Amino acid sequence: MTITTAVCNQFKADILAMNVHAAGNTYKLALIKSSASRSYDATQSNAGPSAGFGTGTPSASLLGTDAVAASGTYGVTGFTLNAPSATLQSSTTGCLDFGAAPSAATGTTISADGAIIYNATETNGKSLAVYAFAGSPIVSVGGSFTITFPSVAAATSLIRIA
Amino acid sequence: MSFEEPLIHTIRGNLPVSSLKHEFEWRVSDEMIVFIEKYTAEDGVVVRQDAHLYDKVGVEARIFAQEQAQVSARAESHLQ
Repeated sequence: MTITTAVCNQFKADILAMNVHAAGNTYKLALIKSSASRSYDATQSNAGPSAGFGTGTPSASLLGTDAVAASGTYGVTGFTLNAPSATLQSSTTGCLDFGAAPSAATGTTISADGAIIYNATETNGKSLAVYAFAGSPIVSVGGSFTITFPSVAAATSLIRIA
Repeated sequence: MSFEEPLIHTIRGNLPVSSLKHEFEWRVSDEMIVFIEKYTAEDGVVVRQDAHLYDKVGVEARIFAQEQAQVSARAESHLQ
């Protein structure tokens, strides 16, 4: 199964709906385990409700058992991100970033192939984007698992619309 | 065990760093830089591994290309 980095189609529709996402919402980044049962790409509409992480059959609307299990300080629903910040970069590119990356999860034993950013405030965890990890699987053993975000710019922001 | 000997926390508890084989690996691509730091015990078991990812480029949804295609299609239909 493959993971393809993409802005989720559902997020494009949600942006135009203008009533799904809000700056005050909580956004999270959940890790997708290695050897996931299905492929993940732009068609992933939801990560699922919080109770659906680690349980349930994975689908386009549920991460389910493809979510990396809780380990060390990493929780099954993922890293909580800082508040979102939308900016216009280079006059043409809309950028969505979440400030500094979340603190490293420590004492973890994790094997992950990718990640999904989703809205944890919205009941069914509407997804924003899916990321494939280059050089996956990324494995930690009783150690730290850290993700560092790119800098805010037209060519590098975490989520961009050009 | 000397109290002055540096220890590291592993899946087998705190072990002297000097008793472990220390390796690291960089995986560099256009999209990400991954740094893996691994400590292996004498029996070959990896007792600690840290993983650090740096996402270099995020992800982009392109609209401009579609707009251009639509403009081109409209221009062609006017010419016909």
